Amino acid sequence: MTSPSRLLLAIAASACCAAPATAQDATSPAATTAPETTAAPVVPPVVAPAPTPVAAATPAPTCELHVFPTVEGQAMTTGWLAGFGIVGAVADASMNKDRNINEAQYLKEALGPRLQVQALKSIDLVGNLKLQPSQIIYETPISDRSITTKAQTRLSSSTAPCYVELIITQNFYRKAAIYGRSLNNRFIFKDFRGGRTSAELVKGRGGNGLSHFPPKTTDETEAAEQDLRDAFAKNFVEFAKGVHSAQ
Amino acid sequence: MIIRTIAMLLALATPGMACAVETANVVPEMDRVIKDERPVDVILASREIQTTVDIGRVASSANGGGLIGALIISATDDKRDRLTQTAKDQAEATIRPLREALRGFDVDALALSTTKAALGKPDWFRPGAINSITSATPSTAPTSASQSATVVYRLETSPDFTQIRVIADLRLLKPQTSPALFYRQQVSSIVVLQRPSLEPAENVAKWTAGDGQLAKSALTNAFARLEQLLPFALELKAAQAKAIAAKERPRVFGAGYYGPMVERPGAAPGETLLWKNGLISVTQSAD
Repeated sequence: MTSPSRLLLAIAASACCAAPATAQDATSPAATTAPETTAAPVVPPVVAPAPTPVAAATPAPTCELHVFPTVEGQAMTTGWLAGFGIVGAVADASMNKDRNINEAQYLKEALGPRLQVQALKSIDLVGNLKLQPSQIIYETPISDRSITTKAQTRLSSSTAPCYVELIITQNFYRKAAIYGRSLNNRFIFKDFRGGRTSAELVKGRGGNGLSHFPPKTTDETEAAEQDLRDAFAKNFVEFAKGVHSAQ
Repeated sequence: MIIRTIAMLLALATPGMACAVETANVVPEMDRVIKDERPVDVILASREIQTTVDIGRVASSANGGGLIGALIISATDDKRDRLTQTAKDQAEATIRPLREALRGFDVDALALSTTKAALGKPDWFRPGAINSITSATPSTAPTSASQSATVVYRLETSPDFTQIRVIADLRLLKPQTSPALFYRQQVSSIVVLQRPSLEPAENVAKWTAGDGQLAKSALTNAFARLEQLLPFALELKAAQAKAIAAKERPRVFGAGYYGPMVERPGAAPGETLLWKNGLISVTQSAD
């Protein structure tokens, strides 16, 4: 007989093991194709949903740039005390703990996925990445860093031969006693052009100073959030300079 | 560097131990055909759809103070817990309309009918009485049964509410032996919004619109997919299981998971079956 405690333990274990990430390939217009696989029993498919309708007004560029924003938001403020040994560092961490929590939460909202997309829309994404004319597709974020930083294959179901991905993997606000306030972002550019099935990865970062974020009063909120978005866009441009388009 | 190494070792050790599933994911040939029937318990972990949160990385507060300072700071650092709690509170508030829309939707009946249909498919399985119980009630399987089965269903959304997931945890037990559990397999059926938003509340609104029509059809389709996948998992032979999880198999991404592809039918856009510590089926919503 299975005891209730055993069942409860098993449920807890199953809940623990299923730690899914936040992502999906959602806005891709292309239908999925099936690569070759080794033999396994075939599962009967459920009724297929209708494919996403594609507007046929003007011919879209054949190249695709898929952009994955991040759900991350990290914040770290350190003061002068951090330089005064163990006691100073512990006191500094303790003093800034609440601030770091609040600012991380605020950063997640003020520069969440939608606002990252908004910031990227304000600049010439394709031009900065030195790509040929491309259709830009904004995807939902992928929070699992082992996927975003290591996966060599496509993260969408698109089969377009001219295909690249831009993944934002870090959103980090930092305030240091000496250097002041800054926003740091990490990016990954995955190039599948030229028939590559395994991407050529370019990883890099950008960091720029902030002058209004975080806001001290509610009146400064708008300026602070604009400040964040501007710094984010500059960080991307900084990263893009290191991307040398081969195709 | 030392701190990072210690942290990495701890990170590697802890979740691995906590989540280890020791049972093989193939029903041994000798345990398939039995003389009597297998009584089945069906457990719905929660009648309400649950939220999940993922706060990603949290910046370490350790900055200066050397190794001892870092250890003290890390020991007293509860930022992750507090951020997680806030995210949970937000998710609970966001999901409210969806729960309201799903009130009265008979998930118990879906779980029971899915289990009955799924376990009836393998010729050798011979399911006995199928009973719906809660996690707090004891198994209904008689102690004299040579084997019994338990299917625990969990209903949840993804942290951004772009997905509705039904996760089946299938277990086979030998009540007269210790440990009783000899087979366990998790099968996830995930329905993702075809046109998701980057705003969680907007995704909830999509699922909820029209008295939760999309959410209800997602749950129905997710259970329908499980009806196919549970027998598929049970029928797997050792060689097939090995082939599915093989390193050289093409990797595929779907619904936040990345792993060897089992199947990606060309006829159904966005539909994927992959392996990541269990079978994971991804289909698109009908919106």
